Order: sequence, then C-alpha cells, then structure tokens
Amino acid sequence: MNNLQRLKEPMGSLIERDRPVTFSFEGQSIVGLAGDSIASALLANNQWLISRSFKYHRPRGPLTMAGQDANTLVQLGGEPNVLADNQVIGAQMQVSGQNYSGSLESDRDALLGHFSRFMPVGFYYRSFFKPMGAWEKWEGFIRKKAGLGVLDLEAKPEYYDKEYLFYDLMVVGAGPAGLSAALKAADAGAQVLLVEEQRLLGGALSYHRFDIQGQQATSTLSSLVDKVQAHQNIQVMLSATCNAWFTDNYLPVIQDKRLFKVRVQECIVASGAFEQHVVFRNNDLPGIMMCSAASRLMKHYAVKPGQRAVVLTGNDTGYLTALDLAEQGVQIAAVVDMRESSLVSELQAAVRDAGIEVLCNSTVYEALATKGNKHVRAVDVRKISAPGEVASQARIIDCDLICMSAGFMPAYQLLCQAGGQLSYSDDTAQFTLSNLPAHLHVAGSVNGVHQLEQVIKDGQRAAGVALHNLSLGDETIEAVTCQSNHNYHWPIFSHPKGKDFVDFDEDLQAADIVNATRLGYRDIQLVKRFSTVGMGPSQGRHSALPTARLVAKATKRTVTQTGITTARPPFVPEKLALSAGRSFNPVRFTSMHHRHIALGAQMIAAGNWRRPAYYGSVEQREQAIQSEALQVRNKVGLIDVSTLGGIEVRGPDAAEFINRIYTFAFLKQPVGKTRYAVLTSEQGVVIDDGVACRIGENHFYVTATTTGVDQVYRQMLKWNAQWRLNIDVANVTSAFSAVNLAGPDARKVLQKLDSDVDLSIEAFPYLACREARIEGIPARLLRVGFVGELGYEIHVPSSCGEALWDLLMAAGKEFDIKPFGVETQRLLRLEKGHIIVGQDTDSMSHPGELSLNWAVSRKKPFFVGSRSVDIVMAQTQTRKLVGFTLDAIIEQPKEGHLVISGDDVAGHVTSCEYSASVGKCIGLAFAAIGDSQPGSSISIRVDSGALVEASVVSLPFFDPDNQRQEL
Amino acid sequence: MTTLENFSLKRSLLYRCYQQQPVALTAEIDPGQLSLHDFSVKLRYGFRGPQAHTVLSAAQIAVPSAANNLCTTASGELVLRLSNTEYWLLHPQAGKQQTLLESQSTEQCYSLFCQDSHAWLVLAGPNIARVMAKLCAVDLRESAFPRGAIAQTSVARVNAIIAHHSFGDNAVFSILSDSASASYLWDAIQDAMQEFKD
Amino acid sequence: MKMINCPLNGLRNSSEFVYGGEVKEMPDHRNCNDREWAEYIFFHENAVAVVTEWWLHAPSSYWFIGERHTASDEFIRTYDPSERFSTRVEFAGPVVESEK
Repeated sequence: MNNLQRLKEPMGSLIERDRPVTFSFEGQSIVGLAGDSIASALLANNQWLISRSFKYHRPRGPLTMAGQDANTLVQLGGEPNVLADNQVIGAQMQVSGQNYSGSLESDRDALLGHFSRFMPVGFYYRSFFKPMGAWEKWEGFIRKKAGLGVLDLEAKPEYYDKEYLFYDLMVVGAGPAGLSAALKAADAGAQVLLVEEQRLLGGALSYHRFDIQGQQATSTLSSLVDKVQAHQNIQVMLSATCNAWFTDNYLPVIQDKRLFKVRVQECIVASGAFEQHVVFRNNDLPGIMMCSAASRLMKHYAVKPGQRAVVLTGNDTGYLTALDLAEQGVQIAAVVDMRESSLVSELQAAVRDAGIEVLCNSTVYEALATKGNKHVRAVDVRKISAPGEVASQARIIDCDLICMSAGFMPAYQLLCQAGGQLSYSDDTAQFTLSNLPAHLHVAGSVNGVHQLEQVIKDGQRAAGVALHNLSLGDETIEAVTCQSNHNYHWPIFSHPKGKDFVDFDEDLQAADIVNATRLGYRDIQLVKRFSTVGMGPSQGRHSALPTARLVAKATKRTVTQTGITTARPPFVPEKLALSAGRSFNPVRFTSMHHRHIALGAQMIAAGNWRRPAYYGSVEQREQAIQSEALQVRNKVGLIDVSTLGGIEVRGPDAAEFINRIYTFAFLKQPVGKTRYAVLTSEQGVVIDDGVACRIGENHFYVTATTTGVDQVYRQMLKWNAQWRLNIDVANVTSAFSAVNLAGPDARKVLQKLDSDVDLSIEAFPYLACREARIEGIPARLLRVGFVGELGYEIHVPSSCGEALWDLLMAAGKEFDIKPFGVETQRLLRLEKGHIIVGQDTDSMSHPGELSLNWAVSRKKPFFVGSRSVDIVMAQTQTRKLVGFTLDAIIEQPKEGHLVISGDDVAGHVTSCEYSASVGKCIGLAFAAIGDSQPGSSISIRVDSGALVEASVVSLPFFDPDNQRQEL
Repeated sequence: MTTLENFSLKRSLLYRCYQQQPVALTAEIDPGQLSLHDFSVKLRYGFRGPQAHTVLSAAQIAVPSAANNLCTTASGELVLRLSNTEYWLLHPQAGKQQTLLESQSTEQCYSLFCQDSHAWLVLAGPNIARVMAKLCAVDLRESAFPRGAIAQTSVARVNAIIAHHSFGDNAVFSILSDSASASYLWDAIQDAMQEFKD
Repeated sequence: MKMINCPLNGLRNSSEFVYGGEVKEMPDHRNCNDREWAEYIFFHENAVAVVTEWWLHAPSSYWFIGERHTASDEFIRTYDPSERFSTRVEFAGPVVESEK
C-alpha cells in the first residue's frame, strides 16, 4: 500500500491528503501525509515492524495507536523512546527502531527469544547475584542489553518552560463525557480548562462506532465539538497530558516543551478506559492490535489495517469494529467471541447479515507468524472448554490482521493518585472507583459508563456536582447507571510453549507471573517488583489486570482480594527537562558586587549571597589570602560585610525584648555602645551571634550571621506574637550595605572623608557606636574587633553602598588600602580566637563548651534557652572548644578531622589555617575536657591516617591582650 | 535615614541591568509595549505600628480599609496597606521629591526601610498577568486580582509584594522585592517576557 | 500542592509557608522540674488528632495559628495569634533555684 491507496473520506480526519511529507526510517526514505503519526505513515507504506521488544528483541508493531503502549518506541534523532503512534511526522525527521543489534529487520539478538525458558522471571537477579564477583563480570554485558534507545551525549540544552494556570474547573479528557461536562459547566458560567492527550477533540467519538448504522458518533461529535470550540468559557489544550494529581487539585499538564501547573477548584476526570488485550501465544506479532487501534488507523489516518482480519472479542466492541473494517473493504475471516453468545443479538445478526462468520465460545489460542515473526499470517482458533482452557481441536484461519478486545480497564491513574479506591467485582468483571476527594469527580467510561447517551449524561452529572461546589448551580444530581458489560472475565489462554504475553513492555509471559507466585511472592506489589510487570513505559495499562487475575488464581484468591498495583505520578514518562527547565535559583548581590568583580575577586556562595573569597587568581589563592591578612595587620584593609544580617528593634520595650532574646544583659546597656549578643535555642544550643547596638533608649540595631538572620528574625517575631511587648521588629539586612574598615590606619582613612563624627579614641572608643554622615551618606558606625585590629564597621543605606566603597578606596589610596575577602577574614578572626557560629559550633554546642560563659547573664529572670542552658551547663562537661597550634607541619589538619583521645573520638577540628602573623598553623577543635587546658596536647587524625600532635594553647593566638583593636 | 542631600551617591542596585535598554527608568510607559521599568530610586516610605493609621490620617492621607489593598492619592502617590498596621507610600512621579510625610519614627509608628531594602520594578503593557504566571503561583489576572489589589507572595522564588494599579491610563504591576535579589529578579522577569515580545 | 488559608493573605500554596511547631504553653521555667521542662522542649503528642500549630507566611513574615488534623492533613481553622495571646507576658520576679 502507498499513500494513493489510503481509504476514502470521511476516513483520515487527521491527515492532509495533498501535503506529502518525507522522512527517513532506518535510513529508508518514507513518504507520509501531513498529520500522519510516524506509525501511521509507516503502516501506510507497509512497514509493520517498527521496533523490537526489550528482552527478547521480538518484532513489534502498533498495538493501541494512541501512545498507550511501548511497542512503538522509536529513536527520533538524538531522542530515544519517542512514541511512534503519537509523534507527528515532520520533514527530514530521522527515525529508527530500538533494541536490536545489526538491523531492525535482522536482529542477531532475536535468538534470545529461543532461550526464554532459560531466562525465567527474576533471571538477572538470581543468576548474577552469586557467587561474589559474578555481577561485576556480567554487568557490562547486561547493561548493554538493558535500557531503551540511545542517548545523545552531545545534546544541546533546549528551552523548556513552566507556567501557572488558574481555572474554576479542569476536565481531563475530551471524549463524550469530558465534552459534555465542559459544556454544561461553561454554560453555567464556570471558567473551564479542557485537557486532551490526543491531537483532536472527541475521544472515542472520533474513531469508535457506537451503533449498527455507524451514524451516532459522527453526529454527536460534530455537535459537541462545535459548541465547545465556540464557547468563550472553555479553553482547550490538545496534545496535552495531565500527568498527576496533587493535593487540592494541583495538576501538572505537559504540552510540548512547557509544564503547566494548573490550579483549579474542581476537577472532573473523564479519562476514558484502556482497551485490554487477550493473552494467547504470539499475541505480540505485528498485525495484532486492539480493536480501537484498527479503528483509529482507519478513521484518523485512512490507513487500511489489513486485508483479511480475525476479530477476537469478549464484548460488543469487536462486532462494531468488524462492521467498520468490512465497510472499508477489509475481509473479515471471522469474529471470534469468547462469550457463550452475544448479549446483543441484534448486533450479532447485523454482523452475520454482512456475511461474517461468528464463532462463539471460542478464542484465538495461538497466532501463527510469517518468517522471523515479522507478521501474523494465521490463527489457531479453538473452543473454550473452561476458563483459560481450550479444546484440542484446532481450526486454522488465514489472516494478516487480528483485532482484539478483552474489555476495558478504567484509566484510573489520576484518580488513584488522589486516594481513590479501585474495586473490582469478580462476578461482573467491572471496576468501580470510590473514596475520591471532595473536589475531584469522575465521568464516562472511567466511571464504568459505556453507553453513549449515558456517558454524556454522566459528564453532565459530574459537571452538576462541580457547579454545586462552585456555587454556580443547585440542581438535583441524579446517579447515572449503565447496563452494558464490557469486560470478559478470563481472557487469558496460557500456552505450554509460552510467548503468551501479559506485559509487552517487559516481555513477561503468563507463566512468569504464575512462577513469581510460586517463588512465594503472593502480594501483588511484590510480584510487580520481582517480575517488573507494569514497570515499563506503559505502566501496567494493559498488564495490571491480567497480572491481578493470574496472581488471584494462582494464590486461590479473588482479584478483589489481590488488588491492583499502585499508580503513582507521573502518568506517562516525563522528560527531566520539563522539571529542570527554567528553574529559579535566586542569588543576592551586595551593592558593591561589581566593584569586587572589577578587582578580580573570586566569589563564593554564602547562602544565596555571593561574597568575595579573596582577590586574585585561583592559582594564587594562598598568597592572596596571606598578603591580604598582612595588609590588615600592618596597614589597612576593607571588606564588604553587607551580607551580615541586620535587625531593627524599636519601641518602649526594645531593651526588654533584646534582653529576653539574647543571653547577655542588655537593660542597662548605654546608648552609643555595642554589646556581643549570643542567641541560644530553647534547647540551650548556641545558634547565632552578632552585635547589639543601642542607638537610642528605645532603639536597638542588632547584627546576625549571614545565613542565620532570616531564622533569627522569624523567631523574634514568633516570640513577640506571644509576649506582646510594645516594639517593632524589622529585618533590614538588604536595606544596609556595610564594610569593615580595619587595620592600624583605619582611622586615618576615615578621617580623610567629610563626616560629622569625632573619630578620636576618647570620643569614639572601642565597642562604641555612632550615627553619622559620611560625605552626606547617613551611616551607622560600629567599632568592632572581629579581626582584632582598629576597625570601623560602617553601615549605610544599600543604595549608597557602592558610593561608600568608592569613597573609602579613594581615601585609603595613600595608605595603600587593599580589599580583603571572606577567607582572609576567617584567618584573621581565627588568629583572634573568635568563633563562627555554624563552623566552630554544632547542634550540641552550649555556651560552656564554647567558653562563652562571660556572655551569659545568670542574673536576669529569663532569656530564650535560659533554663536549658542551666541544665546542660550543670551537667558534667565532656568536651570543650580549644585553640591549638602545630609547630612543625607534616600534614595540615582540615576542618572535620577527628581529635582522638585514646580509643575514643573526643571531637573534631572546626577551623585550621596557617597564620603568618603567628608563624604557625593554628586552629580550633573540640577536645576532651581533660585535654582542654593550655599545655595539653591533642592527637588529630589527618587525611593520610597519621596522627598529628597539636599543642593546646590559650586564646587568642595573636595579640593576647587585645591592644590593637582598642587603639 | 532614607532622605539624602547628595543624590548622586544614591544608586539603584539594578542600574547595570539596563544600561543598554533605554526603556528602564523612564516614567513614560507605552501601553502597547510589554516593558519592565526600574523605579528603585523613586521615593517610598513605610510605616508600621498601632499608630501608623492615625499618623497618616493626621497628614490627610486616606488609607485602604483592608490589608493587601492600595489606593491612590490625588497627587498620584500610591498608599499600600500590607497588614492591619503597615502602610507603604510610593511616589511614582518622575523627579518627585516633595513628599507628604517625612520618614520619621514616632512611638508606635515606626518608619520602615523600604527605600533601600526593596527594589521597585514596574511591569507594564499587554500580557503582564501571563508573564507573571511564569514566575508566580498566584492568579494575577484582572478577574482574580483587580486594580487596587496587593499580593505578598513569591516571584521566581524571591519574596515580593505585587501591587496592581493604574499608572496614567495603564494598568501595571509594581513589584517590590529584596534589593539584593533585584538583578536576579530583573533577569528572571526579562526572560519570562521574551515570548510576548515581537 | 496543598493550599493553606493565611488569615492575612488568603489561600496560598503551602510552599509559601514555614512550619513553626506546636503551640505549647511554656511551663514556669524557674520553678518546674527538669522533667517538665524536657517535656516542653522535646516531647510531642504525635497523636491522630487536631493539633494547634504555628505557621509562618514567609513572603509577609506573618505568623499565625492553624488547627490541623494530623490524619487528614486538613486545616480546620487558621487565625491571628492575638486571638490566643492577648496580654503582655512578664518574666519578672525573683529567680528561684531550680531542682537539679
């Protein structure tokens, strides 16, 4: 067949007959029509073999023609696992099959199928687990055989995007139920989003035959679709998949390269039902497909699915498909009905009137293949003697097409993700869904309603419930019932020679499932994990039900008792790019950021902030840090400390509040003075520190650590929500930029600038704070000693930060001012023995362990953590943070290295640097309490495994009398 | 704290973002063009406390009756009410330096630092709600978020205050967000705008 | 994603909120025994029941109180903390030696 032989209109609703499109498949040029899927174009060119199966490399062709199976996963350029029956063809597309060695037509590994009985279920697990080392030996070989498709390692990132959408109601599925639900809701004024996985509206209406005359679907389709498309309250999304249900109707919808995060008040799932296959030998041959697939091929693509067909059915669908096929010139060799006799005698009569033979109480027991299993050529039909068993007498019927329908499994995935319970009735072989959340509704065949008039009514019923919840309707809601039975109870006919596939994705045969139960896996979830049934790309759409039936039978239970495997998001495989695409990673820059870049700073992350680590090349890191440190010790340096947290506390109770939050006493702190502020948690652990400046009687400005301030601020607000003190707390971290101007020449630099503050030591001593104007910029000046030199922390509005930096760098030029980074600051403060909370403390560090007893007031009635601090500090202390030095450096300890005391781990190194000012390697470490006195020695296990001996010394390492900072 | 004699020292933390883009910093908004503007250097004041309402009333400033709403004064200033006791005054007019209130704290009415703690971006033109839908999980379409409404939420994972108001004859979004994150947010919004530009 | 009804900002995605622990009454920290204090600090009911919790709406730094059922994860009610904490808490008074 070629494109000229396509079926006549109205067949082919998706194709444009006058627009040929050329693409390549396996290197061969193929001409399809615009609108064709890869699969339909290939079938139109008589190319039935599209890919090979995962395990046995069996030839596979289309099964559902709706993207519901893994049979037609192909490689499209650099992209593996593209659904050939969904992907629309484009000019110049390069398509190839998957899972073969050599060529698709002649696959060396197809022989694997012959060894299938030596590769039972769980084969890889069991065969290569023992002896030790076997896995390592085989892994490479097995990995090569495993996996689907080929990744393009040269792939260039593409632009994937995300977007939020908001509607009153979302309807999943645009079949008759979804269309009628959307229309009813929209007519009542609801804003409706209608999401359809396929490229066209209508669902089953677009391909299924509902009546003998074949008129009902067409007329219903056009009237519904016309109204939906014209309705201004309905937004339609085609080729879009609702891939999950999350709490409160948060619904990810994937369309092309965008992930829509849809939030709706009400959601109606009208997702339809998946037609089920019959399990018989060779049921996977190309040419064997679902009845719906044959209908889709004809109605959507005008492709004739075969010349001579056998229809195998357990319900009325097969008869209607036979009528469709016959109308399009396909010879029907027989309709094989597994049931005793057709329930709708009228329908059976119509089929017989068309000259079609009907064989009741019969099944296809085996499909016979052409050479190389490339296509079906005949069937072995037998009478059913008991459920799953057949008579010995066979009748061979030639055919090149088998259409099958064992029944319909509701597309329950989204509903079960929402907590819905799927129940199966062993008597009627029907499913019901219950226990859905309040604002999630179900309609149509997924709800077990199949007759067209009832389906439409069910859609309207669901819309009625949703409208009631939206306060847009108040009519009485009547239940919709449906009499038709679509599921045949036992469509499984195991064959002694196997190849009776339950799961096409994973090449699992009926015996594999039964054997899993014999190995002791009775639970359906364990059978799934052991056998991998339902774990392939089609996620059990076709295998879940036969698996449940087989497990139930093998363990002498009912399907109700075994249950069905759990459905979890995502519903269909989701590209990682959709989750990764356009993700947000906020970064914060200080106002001086670009000055640092211009000066050659290496930036490092501190929370979301970027801070200069040091200035200079990465190769010169060590030298840069040491020279910056010496610059601060000998002359003057400037560091950007804008990332320090800043919190304003104002009001009559400001001092009382600070006194309750921090460990020190603050009530009598004089205005114009700063005080070290340590914050303990309610558990008594030191969690933050900073400096509290009393700017006015009722006004404190408190700094906090860069990464701790948000938490500190939140805790302050939470405490005062309970205490009701008369204050206001404001996080002003971003409002202020700050620098620390430090070094013996710091005062001289500042004096160069025009300011209204007396900088003399008498007027502005160590630990004082002042409000001032520097060259007109309003500023807060703090005399601090973090790095142990004469230093001014200058805080200004962040809009003026860059100007301040420029002013200070210019004023400092004659004093050879140099900027210094965070790494240098870490060294400088370490020389002074100052801790960094979070680096030199851990989640157990109480003030006593850190020698911060002096900063804890025991006289005040309360501070956060006071009782716990009392308790933990009264306990026998086991460790203490100590300073240590190393005289000879064999191997410099690093942060995290263990301090060993005898056979025990006493603690660990928290900081360690080489100090040029001290002339030694210095550090802080937690040591056993017995080793914490100066003069003791501690053993540190370094990377090489060696123990390095260090001397415990008193702190600080540098300028022990703290004279330099008080200048 | 927030007023300065020497304005040349005062810079938007964003100014590098739009050196090549003259559209920023202009107060003239073309209603036909989707555009992003930096209003960060324009004046704004914040007040919070039990007496804030009284102080504003004494200055003849009408305030919205409920939190998360805004109103506009006769002279075009925006009055944002962010909680029961917090109000921000935004002065969108170009070059405007005269203000109704100086930013001074009194007891129970504390001035805030929004001039420096927050950047002020203005998103104007067609499709602004769709642009924001790519960054923000709150429905900002006119039907759900009319002019006069305020949303305090997360935009591109940065906390922000979004105010929907008129600017001249146009409906715009004012986005007030952490000044240190402003250049990140500027880029994120520009990226989201791309598909709606011609 | 779950939505939480913030008394100040209305219904928002739960990603805008930060959990702040159960609302618990602090025992008299000076006079309770160590066991009572440890109960307050470390122990939680962890029952299938309606619990009263602190929640923070992060973008507006607004703390509120939510009553939530631990099994259904449903919020029964959210409200401003002033409904529960209306008077100023004092810690003044003599320091009493605690039990050790």
